[in-house]
Amino acid sequence: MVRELLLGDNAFIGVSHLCQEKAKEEDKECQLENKANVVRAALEGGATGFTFSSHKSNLELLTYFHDSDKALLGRMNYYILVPYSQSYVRKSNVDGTPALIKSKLRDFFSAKMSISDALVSLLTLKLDRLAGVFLESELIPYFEILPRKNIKGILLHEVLTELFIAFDLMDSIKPLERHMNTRFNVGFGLETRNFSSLSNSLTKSGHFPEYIMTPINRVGYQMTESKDGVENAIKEVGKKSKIIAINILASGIVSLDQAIEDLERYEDSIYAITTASSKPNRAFSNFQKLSQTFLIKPENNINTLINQVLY
Amino acid sequence: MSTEKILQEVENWKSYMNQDFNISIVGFGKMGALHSGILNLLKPGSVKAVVDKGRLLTFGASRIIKCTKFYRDLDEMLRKNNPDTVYVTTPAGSHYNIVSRLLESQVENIFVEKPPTIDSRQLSSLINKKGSSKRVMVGFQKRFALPFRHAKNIISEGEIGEIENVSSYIKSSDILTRTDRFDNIGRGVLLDLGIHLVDLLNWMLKIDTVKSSNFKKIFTNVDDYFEFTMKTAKGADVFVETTWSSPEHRVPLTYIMIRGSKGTLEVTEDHLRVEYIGNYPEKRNKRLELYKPNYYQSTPPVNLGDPEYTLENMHFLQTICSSEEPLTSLENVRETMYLVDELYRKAQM
Repeated sequence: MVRELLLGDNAFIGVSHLCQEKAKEEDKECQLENKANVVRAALEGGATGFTFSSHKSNLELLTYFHDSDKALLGRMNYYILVPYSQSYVRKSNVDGTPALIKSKLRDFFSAKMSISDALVSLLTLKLDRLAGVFLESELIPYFEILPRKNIKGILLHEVLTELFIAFDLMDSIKPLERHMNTRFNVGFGLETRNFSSLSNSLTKSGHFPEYIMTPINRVGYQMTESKDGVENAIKEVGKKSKIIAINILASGIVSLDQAIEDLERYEDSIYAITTASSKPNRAFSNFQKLSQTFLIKPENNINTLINQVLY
Repeated sequence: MSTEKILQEVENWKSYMNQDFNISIVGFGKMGALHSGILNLLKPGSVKAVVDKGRLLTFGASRIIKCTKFYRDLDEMLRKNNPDTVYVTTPAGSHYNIVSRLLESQVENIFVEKPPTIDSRQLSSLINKKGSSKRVMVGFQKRFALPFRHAKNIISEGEIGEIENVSSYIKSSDILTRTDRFDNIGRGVLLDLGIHLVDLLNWMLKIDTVKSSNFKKIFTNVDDYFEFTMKTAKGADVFVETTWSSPEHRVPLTYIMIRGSKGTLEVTEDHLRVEYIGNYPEKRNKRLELYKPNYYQSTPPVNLGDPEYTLENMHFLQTICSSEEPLTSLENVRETMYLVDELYRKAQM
């Protein structure tokens, strides 16, 4: 059952999976005030949350709301994707990978981090502890400005998720999730573009994280190993984890109506739907349509009420 | 558009993944992690060993990753792991010595990241050492991006007519602060990034000569910006610009615009646009425009980094199984390295 409609941040940080030309155009038009208007319009349209990577532009946007419209921050749930991998690629290009590792180790001992956690993770070299401290170093600025109760999930960026799968490290997911739950009292999840491989690895490890974020669209773009394989796996994994659908428009080659038609087939397996736009009016109309289809249903309203009463 | 013609690697891929691979990675930086990740996702457990000089990295990684052995010494890895295939993903300055050592060893298949060497003299030496029984592929992954493959087909089938002129660039924002890490190689953006575009242009259009060449230093002591003009074998001018210090390019972008007698083609890693001119009844539409999601639908079977990296790896594994020569073998990229040398020579660098 769809519970959340999330605004994505691609248009805010110069990412387009359609092509870079479009990303650059969007980046130019997406100045701070326009981004803020997109967020407001999405909320008016029916968005319930914001999912974003730990890119400095998002911190700037959220800080802007924190300073000028704190009430608005309380109207959204947050799903934070860490780390922002592109910044590491750049650092590695400039100074090389060894220098990058050393600089990250220095960050572990920065003033705002728990020194004892950093020391323990380095001395024990346990992946869950190391990864936890590593992710924490990027999350701290967001935890300082966002309402804690609205931060619902921390998701591991796809680059790390895929490497966890590739190097057979899925046994570390459960302790990592526990670490994030204990440390921040939030849910934990994985983002992937290799859903079939992830599904196999999770089944093997026997642990399914609270959230899994993955592309779902009509044309099978970024759905590997194949669209059919992913569709089948989602129906199974959706019983154990909360699936967050991203790239539902296949970067723009699928219409919203087509996407809605497809997503309705998964309704029982999908927890959240994400879409992004650089234009306020588009954000408003897209979320209005999505909320009318997925959220404004009698049974959903009853469930929402029960949830509000219980939690 | 049918992708079959430009997507040979995916056909029957599971059949050649049945073979057991004993792969080692030399250099566990971002490219080493990327290739080993893709290889293990394609064929779980295929990367058996990693060699990296970094003490901290090998110690830490060996404690965390149990399915792969970590070494600091190449010879020790060769002796203990006896790999059939080795990926060389170290900094460019070390490629020549490492590949030379691997060519002397029992390793049959070698993949070396671009640039294969720092100049054509080193490359010729590797080709001489290689002999006929070994396979060496160079990581020019742009040739595996479907829009570029599609563009090559359109050009070779004469769809845009005779090539009149070409304008192109490859830009990134990789170097935006002062660094001296390229001093030891003595070459900069042209060798590191521009070489992709030189290789693509030569592959698509067959470059004949270098007309002019200039460079600028910005953040390093080598070339941070390079612009040059080349000529195709059929006499068309090809203008090229390359820099790694362009803040507006969050990720690297390769752009090629080709004006032909029957139309104009624009292509990047993720986009192809063709505008046909005049009355060509064989073309139903005056315009063809395709984006990344048009090309990569349920394919390739692994998605880590850009899809061309997976296709490149699949191509290499496929050539190993079929005993064919890779598209970007040392021999097939020799002209690219000659052109790079000539561009540096003409720029008096």
